[in-house]
Amino acid sequence: MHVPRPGPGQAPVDDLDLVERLRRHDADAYRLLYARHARYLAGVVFRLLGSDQELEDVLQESFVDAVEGIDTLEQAARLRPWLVTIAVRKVNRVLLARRRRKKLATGFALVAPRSQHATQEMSVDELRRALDALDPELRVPWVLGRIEQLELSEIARACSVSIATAKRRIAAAEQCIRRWFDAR
Amino acid sequence: MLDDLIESFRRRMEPRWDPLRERRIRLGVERGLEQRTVLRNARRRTLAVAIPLSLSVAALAVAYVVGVNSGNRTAPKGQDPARTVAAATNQPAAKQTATAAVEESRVMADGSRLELSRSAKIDVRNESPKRVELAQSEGRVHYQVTHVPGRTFVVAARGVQVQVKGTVFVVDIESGKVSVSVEEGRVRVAASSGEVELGAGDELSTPVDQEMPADTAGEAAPAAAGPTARPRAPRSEAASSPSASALLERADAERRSGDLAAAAATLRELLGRYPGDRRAALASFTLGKVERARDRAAEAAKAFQTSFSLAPDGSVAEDALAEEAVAWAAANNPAAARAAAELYTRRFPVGTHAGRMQRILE
Repeated sequence: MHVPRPGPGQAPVDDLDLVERLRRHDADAYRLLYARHARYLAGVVFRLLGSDQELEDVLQESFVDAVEGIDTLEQAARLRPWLVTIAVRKVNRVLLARRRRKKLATGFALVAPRSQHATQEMSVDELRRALDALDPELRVPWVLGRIEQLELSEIARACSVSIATAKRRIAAAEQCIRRWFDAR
Repeated sequence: MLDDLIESFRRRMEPRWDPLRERRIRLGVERGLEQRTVLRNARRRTLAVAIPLSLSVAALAVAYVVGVNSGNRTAPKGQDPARTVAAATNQPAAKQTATAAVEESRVMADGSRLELSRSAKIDVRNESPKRVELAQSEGRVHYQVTHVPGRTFVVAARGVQVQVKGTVFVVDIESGKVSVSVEEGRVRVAASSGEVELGAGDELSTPVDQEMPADTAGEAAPAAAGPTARPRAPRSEAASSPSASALLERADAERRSGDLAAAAATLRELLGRYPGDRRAALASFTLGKVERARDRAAEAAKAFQTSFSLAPDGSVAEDALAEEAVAWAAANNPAAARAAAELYTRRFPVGTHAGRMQRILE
């Protein structure tokens, strides 16, 4: 079931209070942080990873880092996008490690479609396969932009690149994905 | 057409999210926070001892070097030349050779901070306003480099060149490979196989380039074997017997850095040292996940089995039993998979994994 997700700029106003409580090391604050944002973050991480594997590890580590590093959050109102940034960095590691394990070629164009059925209908699974073949540095901004519909500035921040680079990578990813489907 | 597909993807790609999972992850967060608190306290205690000790060692080293320089002494026999402790000398920085015998932090003149593992060896090859060049030949070093406009900061690690501006990254040389992981900013990594730029969260491992010894401690070696050689300081008892919390923390860090073999070894060490610890079942469960990620299904199954045996009523018992069944199936051991799945359905007839277990039994 699809659960509507508020955008990153639409975090609840009382996140300000939550951040203050976290900074005061309020014992219950992290539970509130988790209760309020875990479901949203799980969805983002799941779609970035493309699978359930390692989802729990990424979420756990992201929340631990967030609680530990709450003092580095500059704008309390941007709590949710900040959480996304933390999670994206961890997802990047997972995707890179996964890519190394599979010994995939670095260029998307070098990876042939796996399915032998050229007439197979376009499907969500096919898009997942296309994303799996995509380099993480293209995959992550594309998912954040096209799937999660984050603003370009948020994507750039989450990926630690300039807005121009984020835009360029999304466009490159889009081109690769279209090429993938054209080859079907 | 792609837009329609994206909409479908957005609608259908939702993770399984139930109270059990929500609770399990929350408990993991609590455990992570607890571990970091324990580790922080332990670091504070260590620093309280280490700082006066380091000052004493440095003072002795300076005194010795001064004596060597004036008297041209040679190292006494029996001392291990590889166990050199860096000393502040009057030589130019480029000539200083440092071999870390114990874990230590160093702050360079520009404020850049280096944290060296016990086995780390670093040679400062050049330190000028325009260029800093370090050669790392062994071990793990965490670099926090201060950004200086117009200055180039380079780490050469066994044939791999890491060029940075202002950033935080780790270079780890172990088991014939050089690993670079970036925490903040960007670095450019060049090896004989090519160049790549890494951003925050990126990691790269590449084999040690045996053809490029010039970047290693090639120049450092004679100095290490020379007159400033010192025996390594004896390790403290605490260092040789890390606590269960410290081992868990170390294993987590190793997992995060992608060094799964090291994480597995650390978790096994924990289980060997502290089999009765309340976290042993969780450690064994984590070991199962690590082994699974290493494509070692049989080892994963054994670890999940141990986890369940250690705490059959614990918080991860249900998952451990289910994962054991799945891992045995992946290890082509259908009998063991079936046995674990049967046990699961008896213990947890309406459990989260009942469907998966049923498929194994069919």
